[in-house]
Amino acid sequence: MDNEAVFSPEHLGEILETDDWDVISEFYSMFCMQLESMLNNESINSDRDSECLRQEAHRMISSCNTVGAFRLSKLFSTLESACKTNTESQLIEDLSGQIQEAMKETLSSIQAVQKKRSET
Amino acid sequence: MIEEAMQKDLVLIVDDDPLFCKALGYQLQKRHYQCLQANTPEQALEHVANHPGLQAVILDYFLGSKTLDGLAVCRKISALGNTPVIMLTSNNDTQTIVSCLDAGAAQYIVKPCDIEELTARLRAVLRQSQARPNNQQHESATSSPIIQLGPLVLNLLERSMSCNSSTLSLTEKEIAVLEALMQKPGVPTSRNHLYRLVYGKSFDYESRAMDVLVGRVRRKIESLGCNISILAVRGEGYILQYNPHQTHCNGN
Repeated sequence: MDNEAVFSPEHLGEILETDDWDVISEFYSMFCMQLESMLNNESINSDRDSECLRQEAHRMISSCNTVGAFRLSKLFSTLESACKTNTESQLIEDLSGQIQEAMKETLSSIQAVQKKRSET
Repeated sequence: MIEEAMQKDLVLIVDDDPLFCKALGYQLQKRHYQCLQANTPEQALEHVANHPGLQAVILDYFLGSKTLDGLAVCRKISALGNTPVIMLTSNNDTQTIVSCLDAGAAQYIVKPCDIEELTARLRAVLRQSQARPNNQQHESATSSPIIQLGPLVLNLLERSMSCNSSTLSLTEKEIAVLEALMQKPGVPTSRNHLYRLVYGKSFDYESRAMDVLVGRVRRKIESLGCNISILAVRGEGYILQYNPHQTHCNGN
């Protein structure tokens, strides 16, 4: 899991079959807003009901896979499985912490790409 | 082409993840589909009710709703009419697949899905539903997925064909070719028509893809020992010929 790339900047363009930066940027902005909102609202918090956590994790997997945030996608997938099987709360707590960190890392990676593009 | 512009099929994408919906909508629009999006069961059912021209629904199995999950929405859409549903699932275990098909889904596909596979399945369900336009008012949502010609049986749901107690699985493209030919046995079907059905675009005269594909279907039929053959008719396309009094194996 640790070897998984935080974010693959080529992926979204390949999925959408476009190199139109306006289009790609729109998707990144949407994803960043999702992440920011989740960080601000502490949506991934081990104190929450495990079914709510599972739903939140499930919803995010597709988004992460779409934009190329693969490490985050794997973490959400692990969290979803853990919530589904009622795994011990310590693991869920650890995963929640890892996800918080990965969300911040992903966010700054995407924002760096956006900044770089806007400068060129 | 004008013909292509007029033939845009209207597809509804239902997923609680707005970003995924948007991305899939973008991919489908690039392939000349017109798309609607819904992120909740309520929005989905409203779209189905308000758009009688809707050709297909791509529906997430999970949907993340406490009131209605994807299966419940699928049942409701099936009850409302004949709009075919393709379910998007996260896993392909038997229980999930059975529950999708039992809820009335015409197809299912496992996420993350390849857009080419998804559009192939979309074309497959559109072909099925467009092949029975006059019966839509009378038929239930459970139209037969079986097409039979003599001893040859094509099962659209199981994606297989059988003859003489032997069964072979088929790819989506092989199904498209065989289904088209079985619907008009003894009548030539043009390469152009088949190409459009299979690849969703106009015939490429340089391409040998259609001949290769038809050849593969022909060999599969032959391997079943079926007295049905696909013949190439110069300038007209392909024809499916059934000879009830001929045994295939002797070759005479």
